[in-house]
Amino acid sequence: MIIIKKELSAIALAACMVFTGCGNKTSGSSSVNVPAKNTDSSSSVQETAGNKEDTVITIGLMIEPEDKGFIKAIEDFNNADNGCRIETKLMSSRFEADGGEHGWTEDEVANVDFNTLQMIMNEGGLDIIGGSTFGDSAKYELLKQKGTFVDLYQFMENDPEVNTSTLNQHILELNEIDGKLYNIPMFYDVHTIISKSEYGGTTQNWTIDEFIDRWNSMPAGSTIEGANCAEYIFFNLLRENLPAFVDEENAKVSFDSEDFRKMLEFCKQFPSNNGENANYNYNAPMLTSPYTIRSVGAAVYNEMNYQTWEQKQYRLRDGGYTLVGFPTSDRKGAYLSTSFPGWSICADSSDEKQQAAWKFIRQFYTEEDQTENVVWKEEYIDDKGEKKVSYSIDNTGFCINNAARKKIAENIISGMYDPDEPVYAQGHEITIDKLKLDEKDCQFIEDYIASIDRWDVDVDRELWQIVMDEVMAYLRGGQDIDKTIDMIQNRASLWVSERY
Amino acid sequence: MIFRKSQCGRRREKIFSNICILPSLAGVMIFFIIPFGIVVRYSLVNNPVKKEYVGMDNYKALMQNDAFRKAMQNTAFFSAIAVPLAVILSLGLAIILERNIRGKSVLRTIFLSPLMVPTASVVLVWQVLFHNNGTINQISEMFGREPVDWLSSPKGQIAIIAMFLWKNLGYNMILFMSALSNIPKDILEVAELEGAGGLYKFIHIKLRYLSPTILFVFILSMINSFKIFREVYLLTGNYPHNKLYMLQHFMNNTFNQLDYQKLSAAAVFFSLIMIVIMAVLMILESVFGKDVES
Repeated sequence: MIIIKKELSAIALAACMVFTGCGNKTSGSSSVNVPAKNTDSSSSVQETAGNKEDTVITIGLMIEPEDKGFIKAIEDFNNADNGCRIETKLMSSRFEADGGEHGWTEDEVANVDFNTLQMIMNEGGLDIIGGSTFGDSAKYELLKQKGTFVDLYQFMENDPEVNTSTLNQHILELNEIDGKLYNIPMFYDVHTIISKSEYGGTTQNWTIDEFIDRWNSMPAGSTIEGANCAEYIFFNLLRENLPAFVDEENAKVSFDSEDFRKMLEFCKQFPSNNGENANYNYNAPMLTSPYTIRSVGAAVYNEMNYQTWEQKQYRLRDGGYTLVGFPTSDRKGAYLSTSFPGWSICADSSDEKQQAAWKFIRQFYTEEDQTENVVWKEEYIDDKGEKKVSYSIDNTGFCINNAARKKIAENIISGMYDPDEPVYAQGHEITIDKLKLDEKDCQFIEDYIASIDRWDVDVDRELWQIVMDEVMAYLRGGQDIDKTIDMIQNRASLWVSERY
Repeated sequence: MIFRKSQCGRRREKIFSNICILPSLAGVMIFFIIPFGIVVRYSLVNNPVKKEYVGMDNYKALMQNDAFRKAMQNTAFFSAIAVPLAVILSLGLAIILERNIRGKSVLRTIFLSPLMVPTASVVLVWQVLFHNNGTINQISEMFGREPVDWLSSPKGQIAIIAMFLWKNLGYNMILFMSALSNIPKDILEVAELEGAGGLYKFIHIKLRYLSPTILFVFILSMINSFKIFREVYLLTGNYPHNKLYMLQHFMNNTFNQLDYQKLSAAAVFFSLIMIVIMAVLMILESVFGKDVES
């Protein structure tokens, strides 16, 4: 019996060995060489003397920042007499030892991100984290789900300049997780589909059936977004309907539904490009075009004729063109997103550091800062040798600060950002039949944004991979539709069961 | 006096042996006991970031989790089929190769060679074999049979069992061959003289002498059966057909999702199951092999 007990202990130990060695880490190879962490923090930010009594806030960045506005913001913050100082902690470097730029592979990014995650979970030491802390921003989203960050509403409550009244509340609500706000997007934009009302009808947010019916009524030779390629249509148009088949609450997926089958059958009628680039034809009638709205200027749609090089403008509120949205089962249509997700404050930082971190973060949401940074300016010398400034209002998106957004809209209406010089495309001067934007156009866009209740967080990569694996095999003739749907349903069921 | 002297001597010996064992004990503590303790701790918190104690909630959630139940079912099914097959087939091979047959050492080398081939290379070959348009389907089509989608259907279990056996039979066979050569020849000769048949000698003598080795091979095969995840992962990715979804898929995916609490709860739960299984095996071995000379 004593011998059995001893042997049992040995076997128990063996069992522990097997299972504490479990969870094969298949992401992040430890043998991958990445540029060493730059041990000088704030290397791209000019070092300031700083006061030794300053509260030091550490921002985590994957590599040296390129955004001059961000670098300047840190320098200005550090130079101001505010009792705080920002230091950046770099997880890796964009430069090789010889000073050249490093070309990142997927494995390298995964490796750096893995180490960053472990550091955040086990050591802490970071006070501000954002999408730029990781190579893959999905890791940042994961941390938000785990309660790593503080609720920013608590700081906004007492802030006279940055609060739920001065910022777009609809956008704030869409970014909440269980009623808490872990980050504030600085700017946002709208992703939707536009269609000439003659082809796509006048209803915003169409369903899959309506979309298919409209396509069937198009004249011969028509295209969808300029291309008639199965993969292109699935990837650019129908993919946005994938969330409709995921029921997170009940941990179920419904890829065996009629709508998904219709989506696949619709794509299958078009030829596959077999991985090559699609052929485009923008001269034939197009049922849909992708439409990204980053300013109120999008209230006027520019219809380009590539034969006469004339551009005709249509007011969206007049109904000549309709924002039909992505075809979806539940009329979700368009979605909002951002390329500037902002920053989050770590919950394990001290109260003093959290307050200091908010002092730094809030400056990006003031009317002054947003008005200054939303428009890209470029100085140039024209043909007459005069200094001119060209403006680009479609690179960042709408300001989340209400006053800044209104100011920019007024500037757009006044024509402040209109180009002085003629516009060219493919060597041809474009003749524009220009419409003057007005307040009602701006209100149309604002109302449209307010009607959108979907905030885009990329379809989960794993789910996307499952769907793409099987859909591509189907579209390229590798398997039939029943097998495709069965496999996606089968594999996606595992995916959703793990998570919810 | 002598009694006291021997007592002192034994005590000194005990102290000395305990000191000698300290480095090993420290190693076991650092690399096994403490990490296992950390795993248990993670299984009792809500997530790896906040680390708030939630008691047995993770275990309750785990038992209700469809993905975990599916993984357990598949892993249990795979182990229940593959492990006994690995033991029986390798024992059979060992018995055949124990005889003086021609090409014995060549055959032994052939059976051992899968152990030396890296998994990633092997997987490429198996992909070619088991692909929808792969070699096996092409051969079966030549005989008029319908092709089988091995890796995207429940029949994938046959493919991975075949892969497991191919990889592990050789090593198990060597262990059995070594054990067979250690069975006292005189007992077998006496049994033969007494008129015992081949089957009787096998069951009542050889098997009894082989029981510790059978136990060892069984446990080893069981541990190796969990490593089949590597091949399945390389063949079919993170989310294969649900019949190929193993416990380690669940663990790997929850690890990537930072759901360490689910992963740890699954690991602890399965450790307990393994301890029970091994305890049963050891009891069986001690009963069956009790008359065997050590």
